[in-house]
This record gives sequence, C-alpha cells and structure tokens, in this order.
Amino acid sequence: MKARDPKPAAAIVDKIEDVETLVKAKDLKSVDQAALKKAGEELAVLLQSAAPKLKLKKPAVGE
Amino acid sequence: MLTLGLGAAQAVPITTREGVLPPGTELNEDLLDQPTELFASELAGGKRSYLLNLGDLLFSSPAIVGGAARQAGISCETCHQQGHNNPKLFIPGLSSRPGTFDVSGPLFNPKADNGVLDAVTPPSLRGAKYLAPYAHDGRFASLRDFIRNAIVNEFAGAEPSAQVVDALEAYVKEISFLPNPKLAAGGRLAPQASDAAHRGEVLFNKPFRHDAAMSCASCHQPTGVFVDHRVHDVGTGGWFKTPTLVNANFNAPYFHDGRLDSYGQVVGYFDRHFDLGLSDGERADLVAYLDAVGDAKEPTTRNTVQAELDEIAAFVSVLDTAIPARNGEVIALTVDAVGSELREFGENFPPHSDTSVRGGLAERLRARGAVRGLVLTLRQVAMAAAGGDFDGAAQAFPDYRQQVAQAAPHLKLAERWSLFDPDIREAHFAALRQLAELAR
Repeated sequence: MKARDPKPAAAIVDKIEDVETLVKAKDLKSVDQAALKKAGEELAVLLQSAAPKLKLKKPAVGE
Repeated sequence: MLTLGLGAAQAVPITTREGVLPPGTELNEDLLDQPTELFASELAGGKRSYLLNLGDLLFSSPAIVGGAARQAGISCETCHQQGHNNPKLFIPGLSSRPGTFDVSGPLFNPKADNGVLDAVTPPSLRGAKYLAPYAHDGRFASLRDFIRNAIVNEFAGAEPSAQVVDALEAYVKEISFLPNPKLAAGGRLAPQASDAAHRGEVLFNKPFRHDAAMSCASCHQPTGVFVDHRVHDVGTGGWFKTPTLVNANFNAPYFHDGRLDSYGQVVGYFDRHFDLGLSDGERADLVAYLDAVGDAKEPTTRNTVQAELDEIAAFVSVLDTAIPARNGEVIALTVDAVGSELREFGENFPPHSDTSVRGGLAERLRARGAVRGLVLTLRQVAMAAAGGDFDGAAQAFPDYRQQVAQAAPHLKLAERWSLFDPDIREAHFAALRQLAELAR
C-alpha cells in the first residue's frame, strides 16, 4: 500500500496506532468505548477504501 | 439488585425480571411495547422539523454528557424513554427505589455530590412546554436552563453549544400529551367517563372541610393541564411543584421521590395530610376521577423493524441540512448517535452464538451485515466532514440512502426471527436471565 499510495497507507498506520493507544488502558473499564468504536469504524472505512487500490475486492462487513 | 457496570466490562448481574440492567446493555432495551411518543407538529398535520430531529437524536446520545455517564452509555433517553419516564430505572447507590435516581450523587458528577441520597423520579416529558417551572422543586424558570443543568451539572458534560440546547429544547417542547377521550375541553370530564369518576370530579372541586379556600382543584387547576405552576409543601419533605394529572396513569411511581405506587395511596395520603374525612366510597370516587383524567388512548406502541427504520431515517435527515451548511459539530454528533442506534438495531438480529433463537440464521446474518455496512458508510460521511471535505461528505451521503433502500427488504425479511418477535424476544431474554443466575 505504501508503494501504491503513501497517503492512505500512512492514514491506516496512524489509525492502527490510535486503536492500539485506546486499548492500552489500564483495565477494561478504562477503555473509552465511544472513541474505540469510532476509531474502529474509521479503520474499517480506510481499509475498505484501500482495497481497490491493491486490486482487491472491497471487503464486506458481516459475521 | 443489580450493579452498574461501567466501561466495556458491562457485566450481566441480572437477578429478577423486575430489575434493569446497566444502561447500554442488552436488557436495558427490554421494551417491545414502548411508551407512545407524539409530536405536536405531526398531530397538527405538519412534519418533524430539523430542530426536532436533531433534538430527538441528541436526546438518545451519550455524546452530550460526560464522565461516567458517557462511559456507561447513559443518555436523556435512559431516564425518559421515548420522552416519557422509566419506572424500571434502578441504579444501586443512586436509586431509592425503581423509577428514581439521585441527580446529585457521587458517581456521575462528583462536583455536584451533596452527600445525601435524595433520589427523585425522572418525570414524563409529555406536555412539558405547559409545565414550567422545571425540576421537582421548580428551581428552573426555563426549560433551556433545566436542559443545560442536566447536561453540565448532573451528568458532567461539556458546556453544550447553543445549537445543541436549541435542538433539545425544540424536541422536548414538541412532546405532546396523549389523547384522552375521557377528558373534554377545559379540563372537564367527558360524558363517557364513569359515574364514579363524575362523582370524583365533584369531590375534586369541593372545598376542604378545614380550609374552605382549598380543594384538590386549587393546585391541580382543571383548566387544561391540572397544574398551578407553583411549588407547595404538602408534607413530603420540602417544596415541590404541582405535577400534572394528564396521562398520569402512566407516570407512577408518584410524588417527587416516587414513594407511592397507586392513586389509592395518593388519595389516602392527602386524606390524612389535610384531614379531609373522606369515606371509603369518596376515596374510590376520587381514584376513579384521577384514573379518567390520567388515561390515554394508546399509551404504548409496538416497536417494529419499520418503526426503527423510520426513526433512524428521521435522525439521518438532519444531515440533509447539516452537510450543505458545513456544520461539522452536527454532522459528527449525528453520525455518532445514528451509528449507536444502528448498532443497537443490529443486535435485534441474533447471531449464530444465540442458541435460544432457531431458524432464519442466514437472514439474520444478512441483516446484521447490512446494518454494519450502513454504520461504515455513515462513518465515511463523518470522516470526510471532519477533514473539512464537505463536498466529499455530500458525495458519500447518497450511498448511505441507496444502501438503506437495498437493506430494508432484508431487514424486514429477518424480522420474524428477530427480537421484534415477542416469542423470540422472550426466549432470548429468558436465556440471558438464566445465564445471569448461573453467574451469580
């Protein structure tokens, strides 16, 4: 992805780091659930957008 | 009873059918028949405004509160379901009994903690625009001040913007009383009310035997909404405003602290407090009168897939205005709130791990996937707007509507195997209750 389009690749890396930071809370109760849901959704959107650039089918969400 | 599990580890210490799980958990939504919510504009043949829709979605959004409340998924809707009350609300340490809640306790805003368990009933908001002043002790002259106080001081939220308060105020002021065929114009009983109710009406207006200047009607003025907009000390531990009697059959528990469960108890209390000397028959007639005044035609409405789709569509319609207006705050709030609504909606279609539900697995999974797809498409709109790309947000938004149109038939098809079906719902929650018992 970095080779094909560095900008969205960097956005994906940044978002993964955001998610990692959010889940590094001292315990489960301290996790900011709303922020984690939002960051998770944003990561999924970024990955969906990146798929066609790698000639992959846009992944569907489901079970 | 139950414990309030904050954070992601929301445990399921369910012990009784009467109990209520922590906000945000599954059983908290245990209402297939929801309080009916009618809006004045729609009753008058009009439509829901942008402000009403925005206020309605904010009312259901934990994003406008702060601290522990936000983390627990609490919103205005938690205490005022469909703009009504929540007689099952019980938060250990903050509730003195079901249907009450201490808004000055230590959990949600330690700065407001007064060190006293003074739980009060979250009142129904039906007809709120006619019921000033606000709060049980009537300390807020305006609904606007009350809303701001609830967000900032009771639930530790950030100072709300003017457009947030405008919208919440517009929403609350639109919530109407429910039609009651037993009540005629001017607060008189209609002919179809019972004979006992009519006898009770006379007693209601009759001067007290020890104070001819007073009657029930002197505070609950039967001129429309049965209030006098004033506070009184009726021996319940302070000065509290006169509550409305309209649709009050559905407002139990009664009094500011919810100490009484029935009209019989309320009438008995006032009989003793004012030494009215009522006979058993007179008390029964007064109860019949209150029951007639407090009635409503259709107090509850069955929730369905279509009703959920309609509500979500109303919420999403806010973006029709917010995106062209480049209103980043409203776009973000809307996407967060609708995303949360959609996720809850999706949970009504149980996955394969829910062994209490049989049949329609493929349909249920397709429904869940469709809802998740909607969440992500809407998130794409918010991401574009957050990056200042409002044209990109405008381009992405029609995709959401197209996806809804495609998803709707699948969602309706899966309804018969979903928690919108009463039998499946009961089987699902019975299994959860059993699990909770095992976990004890």
